[in-house]
Amino acid sequence: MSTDFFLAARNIARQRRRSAFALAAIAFGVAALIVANGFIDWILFKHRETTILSQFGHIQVSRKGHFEKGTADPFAYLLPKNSPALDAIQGLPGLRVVGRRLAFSGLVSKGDETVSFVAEAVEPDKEHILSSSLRISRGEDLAVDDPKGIILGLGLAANLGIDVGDRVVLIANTVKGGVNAVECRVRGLFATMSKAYDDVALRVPLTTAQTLLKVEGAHVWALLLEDTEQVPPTLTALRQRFANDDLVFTEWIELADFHVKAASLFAKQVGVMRFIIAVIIVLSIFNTMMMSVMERTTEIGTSMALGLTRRRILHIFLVEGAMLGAVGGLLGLALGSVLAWTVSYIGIPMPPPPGQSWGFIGEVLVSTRLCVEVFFLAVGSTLLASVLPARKASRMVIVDALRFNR
Amino acid sequence: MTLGAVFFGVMSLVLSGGFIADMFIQLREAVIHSQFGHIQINARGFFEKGARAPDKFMIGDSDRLKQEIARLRGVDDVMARVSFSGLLSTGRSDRSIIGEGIEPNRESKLGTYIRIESGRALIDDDKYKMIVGKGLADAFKINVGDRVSVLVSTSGGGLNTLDFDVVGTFKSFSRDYDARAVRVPLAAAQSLLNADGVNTLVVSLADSLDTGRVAGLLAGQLDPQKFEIKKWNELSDFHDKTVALYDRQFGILRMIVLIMVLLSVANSVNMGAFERVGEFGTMMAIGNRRSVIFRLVMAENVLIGAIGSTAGLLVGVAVALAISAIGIPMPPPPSSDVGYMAHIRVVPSELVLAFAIGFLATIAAAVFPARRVARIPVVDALRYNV
Repeated sequence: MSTDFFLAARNIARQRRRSAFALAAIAFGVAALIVANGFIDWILFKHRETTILSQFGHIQVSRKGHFEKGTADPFAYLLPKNSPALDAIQGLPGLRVVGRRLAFSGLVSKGDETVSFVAEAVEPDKEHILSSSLRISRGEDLAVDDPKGIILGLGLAANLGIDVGDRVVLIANTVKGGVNAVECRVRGLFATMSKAYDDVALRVPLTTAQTLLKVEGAHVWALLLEDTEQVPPTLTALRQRFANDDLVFTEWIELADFHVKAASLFAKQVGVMRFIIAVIIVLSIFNTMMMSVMERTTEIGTSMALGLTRRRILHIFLVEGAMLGAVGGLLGLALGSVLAWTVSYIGIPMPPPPGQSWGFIGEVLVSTRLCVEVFFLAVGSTLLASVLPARKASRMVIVDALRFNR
Repeated sequence: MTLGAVFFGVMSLVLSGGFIADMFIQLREAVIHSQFGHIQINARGFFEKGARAPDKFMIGDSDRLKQEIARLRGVDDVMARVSFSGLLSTGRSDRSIIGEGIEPNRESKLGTYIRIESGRALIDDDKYKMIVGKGLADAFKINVGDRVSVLVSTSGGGLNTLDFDVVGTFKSFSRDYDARAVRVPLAAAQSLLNADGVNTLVVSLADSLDTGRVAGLLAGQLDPQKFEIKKWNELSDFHDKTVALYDRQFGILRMIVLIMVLLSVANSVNMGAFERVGEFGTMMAIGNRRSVIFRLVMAENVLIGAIGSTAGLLVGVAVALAISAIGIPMPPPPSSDVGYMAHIRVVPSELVLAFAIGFLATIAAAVFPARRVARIPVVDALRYNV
């Protein structure tokens, strides 16, 4: 056994050029797989994080029935201003921010023009983090020190003939059934992915909305955690702890229909590319290994003429393949990691995704699981590619094998 | 063996290029057929300001215009849409809504972003029927079979009201839209508004690539003071941005494919040349010049490159056609619920590119080893490999 290892190692060391070619094929293959897959993983990861960060937060807390029936009867599903649940949530380990949101509708007027709107009332300082990718096309976002400053959807502003700096009046029904109005200043205009939404939507600071509606609570608490991996345990803990309360905890993935579909489509599309890349690499390893083993048919004949059994020969080639695969795989892992790091360090500039106005910098995400998978793929194909031709050669009649290639 | 490397390299370039090309075509058609049609003609100002008072931006005499447009070459169909906003009343409560009057059969022929959740879709024979958004139906407990009334203020300043039977509920691309949208037949919307014009003419073409030409033709025919013409990609930046992003993402993956093909070809060309040093030594020993050896190696690789690339091209096209015949099942895109079948297109420019890369890479990869093997001293070359 140890002799076989020794012989295999000697073979690799002696056949310098061949070994170098084989190692190069394996190493480059592994590196390319790591960079390609790491890049894909990064895109999916980034897409997920952007969705969470731009709209939903990780977990949304609301009263039971709010999502189904809240539009018809908004005041029936208000969360209280202070509650032990909110205190407990604010004390959660790993919590980044919790923002309260309130949805309402009413009429907005400027001069003689009056139009209906749907509004989301938010806490400006929290939403800077929670909806960081809301696109402000003119003016500025909401601010804490300007409670009467609001932002309007582009289409709504065009309908009213409003620009940044204009004053408008918001009119809405209060919780007791009366009508209340408040004068606001337009700080900015925003655009989302849906024109239909921008035609009717506006955002106001929470305090102003609460004064307008004469309420104290909110509809939704949006929680953002430090790390998406923490969502399932946090969710389970919250659900257990507040099982008796009238609260519903919704995970972001249930709300992010668009993200889930876009990501699964992209994963499938990119899966085809991933497959093509993997096939090329396996084939190129196969090609190189088979070439270099077939060239050694004469050598195999000589060994058999000296009395080596076919078993031994196969064994030696198996060990050789394993060694080459392992060394090449490790080299490839190192090369791939360095490449991935370099690419991430420089960054691949990417154009802005739909609904956003800023591009982002692409990187490569190398995970342990990816490295292990790629490594075994490379070693496996090396082994197979070195044993097959060796098997064929060792089955030949010795004399034929001896004069092969001459 | 080198032949194999070139062959598989060219084949994978053909397949990956064709797959990406198909993805963009599918995306384009999805955008056109789910929402916009190819070209939309509105009365000037409607697109920007129409949401509030659609009846101020009407195209009168739409039938004559429709016929004129339908006569243009390449135009498949023209259909009209009317928008309105008003109050929906169920008898228990009121709700402000936005509505669209449509030509049901033509809409469903173009394909639509609306998916029926319960009940049925509108058909041409329907008169005062309505389908309502899922969110709206849930919030106000409207069921299929209910009777609702719609109140709108007409352009004359009067109020008008009509009763509708709800025949179905729908879901669209956006939850916010579903929470306030209804659809009725075109004629019902016109009588509700007390107007006979339309807001939008949606033109669908036989071939998407014709869009620019037809839009140019229309722009020349129609009065720019009265009409605005929007091509499908001007109606939403979704498509253009997605394409730009996908182009970059898949461009990087294609680059990786390309590099791997180059490396694998170079690797096997190199190996092939060095394995035969003994043979070249013998040739030089019997009097052949170094330049002969160099030319021989080069000529061999030109042949291998040509044969391998051609074979790769042919088999690649065959595989592409075979896969297209079966189709690769894809999950539904974000704005719909129906998956689709991806194909692999055979794009001439991709074929040329793949062939050129396979062929040139083989030749380029051969230069270095050809020079090296031709320069090895004859004695060393003779005992090489032995």
